[in-house]
Parts: sequence; C-alpha cells; structure tokens
Amino acid sequence: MKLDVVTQEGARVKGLEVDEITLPGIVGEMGILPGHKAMIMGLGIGPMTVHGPAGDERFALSGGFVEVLGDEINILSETCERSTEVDIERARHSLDVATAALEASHPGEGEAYVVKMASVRKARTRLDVAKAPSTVSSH
Amino acid sequence: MPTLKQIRRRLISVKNTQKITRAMKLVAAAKLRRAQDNMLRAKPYSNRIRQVIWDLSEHTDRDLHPLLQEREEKKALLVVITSDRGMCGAFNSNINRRAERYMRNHEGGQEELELALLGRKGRDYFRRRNSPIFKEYMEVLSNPTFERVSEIGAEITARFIDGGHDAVYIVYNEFKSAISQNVVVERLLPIVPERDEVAHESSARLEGIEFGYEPSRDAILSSILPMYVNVRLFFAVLESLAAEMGARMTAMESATKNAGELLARLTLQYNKARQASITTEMLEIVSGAEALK
Repeated sequence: MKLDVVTQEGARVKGLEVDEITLPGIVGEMGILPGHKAMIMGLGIGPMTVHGPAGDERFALSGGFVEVLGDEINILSETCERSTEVDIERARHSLDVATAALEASHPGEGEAYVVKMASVRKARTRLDVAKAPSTVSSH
Repeated sequence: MPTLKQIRRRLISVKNTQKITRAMKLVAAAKLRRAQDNMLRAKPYSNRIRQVIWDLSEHTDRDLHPLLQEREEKKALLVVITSDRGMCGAFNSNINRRAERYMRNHEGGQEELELALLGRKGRDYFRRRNSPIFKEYMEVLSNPTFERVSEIGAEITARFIDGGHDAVYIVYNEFKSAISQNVVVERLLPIVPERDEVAHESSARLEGIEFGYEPSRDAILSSILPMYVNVRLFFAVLESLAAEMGARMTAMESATKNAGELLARLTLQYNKARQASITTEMLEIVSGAEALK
C-alpha cells in the first residue's frame, strides 16, 4: 500500500510503501491491512505506526482524516511529526507546561478545558513516539 | 525658468525617492519569494481536502449538511481581501472597484450584501463610502496563520448556518505570476465542489466504490466541511499576499525607472541652466570691460 500524509505545512510523507498501518481513530486504534474496504475515517490525537519493507516508523498525529481507497492511504492531518524529528527535551517541556495548565483549570470551563486536555494528549503522544523510535534510519 | 538652486534641490529629492523605491522593490521581491513558498506548502493540503470533499459529496445528498445546502440568496456576504499597505499599483483599487461594482449591479442577484474586510485598504475605502460592513478583520495579513484565518472562517460559517447570510463570496487577487494578478470572485458558501481536473480524476477512480465511514458520515461531514471553508479562505489570503508582493515589485520597478528618467531630464536642465548663467556672467564681465575703455 502507498501512504501519503499531508498537513497544512505541506506533504510530510509521500508515497511511502507500507504493509500495515495503525492509526489513532476517534473511537480507538485502527489497523489497516492491504485489501481494506474503501473508507473515510476521522482521526484523533495519537501515534501512527507504519510497518513497511524498510522497517517500522512512528509518527505523532493530531486530528484530520484518513481516506483508504484501494491500495492508497491518504491522510490529512493538522500535524504529523516523525519520531526522529521530535526534540525529546522540548516535548518533555511542553508536556510539563500543558499538564500544569490542565491541573490549574477546571472541567467546568467547558471548551477551554477540552482544548487543554487535547494539548496534554498531543504533548504526551509526541513524547511517547520519540521514546520508542523508528527502526528505519533517518531519511 | 527655475533657478539653479531649485533644480539642485529637486535633483536631490528625486534621487532620494529613487533610493526608497529601489529598496522597496528589493524588499517586495524577497517577500514575494516567501509568500510563494507559503502557497506552495499549503497547496497539497488544499488539493487533498478538495478531493476528499468531492469523494464525499459524490455519495452525499446535498440536504445532509447545512453547508452544502443552496438557499435562495437574499442576503450575501462579500469577503474582500485587500492589503494593509499601498504602493502596489492598482492592486487595491482593482479589488475595491470590483467589489463595489458587484454590489451596485447586484451581480449575484442578491437583494442585500454585506462586507467582511481583510486589509486596511479595503476598510478605508468602504468606510468612506458608508458601505454596509459586517466585520473588519485587521492584523491578519501581517501575520497570516492558519489558526487566525480559521477563527474568521468559523465566524463566517456560523453566521451562514444560522441564516444570517445565504451565501458567502470571496473577492481577492489571484496570483498568476510575479507580474500579473487577476481579480476573482469565488463562492465560499454553500460549498459546491468544483468540477475541475482534481474532481475529474477523483470521480474516475471512484467508479462503483462504496465508502465506509468511521465513526459516521455525519460526523465526518461536519468536521471536514468547516475545515474546507477555512482552508479555502486561508489559501485565498496566501494568494492575495503573494499577488500583493508581485504588484508592489512591479510598481516599484517602474517607479525606479521613472525616477531615473526624471533624473536624466533634470540633470540636463541643470547643466543648461548652469551654462546659461556662466554665459551671462561672462557677457557681463566682457561688456563691463568694454565700457571702461
């Protein structure tokens, strides 16, 4: 299967050959194998694991959609970071900042609380992805 | 005939102006390159989302989502994108005149039109004319982030959904090349997928395919459609910025050239005047010497 990931900052992954891919769906993790039914799925915040002939790779995704059509997988995401691109120190720092902000706020805040929760999840995902690095050496 | 001193002062002032226009041209050229990069980076995303929208709408009843529903257009919103600064030729006046003509002639057939203005130049123009302004969005163009544009998009979309506007159009300068811009009026809402090559390619590969939706089609639609509106708006802003820099570059280029021509003429005039004054002085001396004999 061929994987494309596009974000607002441009194409992040272009025509990567993959055998299996695990995605953070809105309702839970979702694996895609060759021959999958045509589908459009909303994405949540979480890690994406790609298993291909060149090895395993991990990415931090947040939001967006995936379109599966034949052997093409197209992902449109707000952000997509390859594990090797994540700066662990900065990721740890932003997790601390986001956690502190969340602890200081209250579920009664509604929208603002949800946003803070999302930023904690984003930060944690980046850190997790960075700690379990890809087996493919950098591109 | 201006005096020598007057001409000299004029020469210095034109020289300084030329220095400024030349500097502005160089700055515009550098900014143009950056704006083009931004556009290039945003392009794949915008194409991709258009294709997904197309795939979705092929299989979707238009009544399914309010952003797809076409209503009778009684009241519409015109989003006008100008620039914050002048010195870019006819860039802003083209846009403003186009929007004004659209309103005056009721080109879209709407009874009532309101304006949403991005850019100081458009704001100044329509304020002076007391045109009906829905919202002014300043400080977007100086720092055009997707987040900021999305906030604007969300506001416009919300107003469309609650029935405040029956349609939304964008008027902006399309970036053709560094030296040419083209004013376009495009419909932003309701969303009508464009039948262009992206769509064509898309419908060809969709023959007889039944899509699954996760978690549900409604959920997908209601998050992807507003996103699409934001992406289109963002892209229009990026294009307009690139077009603005192109227009400024061209305008400053010709201003620099004109200043050069003016300088040549003034220098000639200056030299003639200088010579004339020398001749006069000599004549005076000679005739003075003659009279003493």
